[in-house]
Amino acid sequence: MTVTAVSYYPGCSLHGMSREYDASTRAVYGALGIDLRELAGWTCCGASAGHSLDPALAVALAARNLELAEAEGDHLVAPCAACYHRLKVAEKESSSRVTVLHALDIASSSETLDRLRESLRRPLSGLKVVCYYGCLLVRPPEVTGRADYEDPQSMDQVMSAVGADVRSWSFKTDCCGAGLAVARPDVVRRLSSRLVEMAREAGADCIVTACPLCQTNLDTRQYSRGLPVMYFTELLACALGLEGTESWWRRHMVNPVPVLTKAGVL
Amino acid sequence: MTVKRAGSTSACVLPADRVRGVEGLDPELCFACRKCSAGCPVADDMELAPHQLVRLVAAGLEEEALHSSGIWLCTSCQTCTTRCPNGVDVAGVIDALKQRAAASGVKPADGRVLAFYRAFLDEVRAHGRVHEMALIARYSLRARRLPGDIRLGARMVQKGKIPLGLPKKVATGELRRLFERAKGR
Repeated sequence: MTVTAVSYYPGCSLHGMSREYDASTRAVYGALGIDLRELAGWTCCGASAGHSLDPALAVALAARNLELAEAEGDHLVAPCAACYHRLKVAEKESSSRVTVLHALDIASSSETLDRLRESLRRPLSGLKVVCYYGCLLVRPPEVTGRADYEDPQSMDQVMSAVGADVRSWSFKTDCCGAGLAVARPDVVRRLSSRLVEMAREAGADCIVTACPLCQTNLDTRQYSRGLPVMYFTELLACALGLEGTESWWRRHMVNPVPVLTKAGVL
Repeated sequence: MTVKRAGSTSACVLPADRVRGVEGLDPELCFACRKCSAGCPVADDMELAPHQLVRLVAAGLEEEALHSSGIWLCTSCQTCTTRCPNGVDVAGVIDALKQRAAASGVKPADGRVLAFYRAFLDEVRAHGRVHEMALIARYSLRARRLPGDIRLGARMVQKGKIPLGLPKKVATGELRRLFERAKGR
């Protein structure tokens, strides 16, 4: 699709612990000529707590935002996989005419892929990556409408378009532990560490993500430290030669700068 | 815009509803292939694995399933629902069990996850959006313990990943009505 302006639902994490995802998303889409318009008065989608505790809140908290978005246009884009999923469920369960997209849906459209190739300043050719999609961006297909939910390709396509050496691995959609991080860090550490080890085994220099929960869990719960975990938008900003990336790297627990420097990306 | 149903996992709309009677969940279609449990990232930590929970519900023994604290370990990753050959919404069944357990006051042996979800919704209701520091404080009060990884939390604050500013309120009047409607159903 050709998009020039779209309503934007950052979600709570992008205003809090994952501000670098918000900043890099805005920077990259701005550079690609796509105006992200933050939805005025947006509120929390309810996340896992909503649907775990209450069947009405499971839909109503997210649906409220679709109602706001209806006044703004036909689409609402969310960069967080968990928000995307709850908004998508609300889209299915309501009469809303708004279509919910994940930020990756815009980045992986053929028009955007062409634009990325045209605007490429610093190809990521020295960088070996694995793409980690997690759960809620792809599953279940009845909610996400995706056909390739066991082996998704959109992030692989985006990273390939900017020249990264995309490694194949079998853990693209295995769970990181999601929202259990505060209450059951033991479970999250086990699940996330395994993903990090499998990424190493696939020969990756770093893991690319499209969700603040995935990024935070993988970045903070590594048994043997040292594998950077980045947002796809941060790497796109590097590839497009955008300024102002330094402040993003400082917010990562595993510093991505050595890997990016070694690969000639910074 | 109207909301057609309370939710795809609308379990406890009326007290008389049984989890097995909820549209779309279809636990009685389970033929015990265990594909759900084979793909579950936390099945090994649950005393009753997903296929066992579904079988209990299908047999009308959901009371036993409600008291299984493993339901609170479900990460809602949707692998079980996605892979079920018979279209049983396994994650939806587990959601329905959690909802019923929470609504009927069933206290899980390990109450940490339930405390976290309650703290999370408290924070949504109070501020409209969730602020990590406030959420952690609410969780600590509800669970009567500090988060599991307090040193990591301190480092995240130090790095500026967890902001310390005072939360602003967004649409809290509207949300209060929304929560009250949900409660009064």
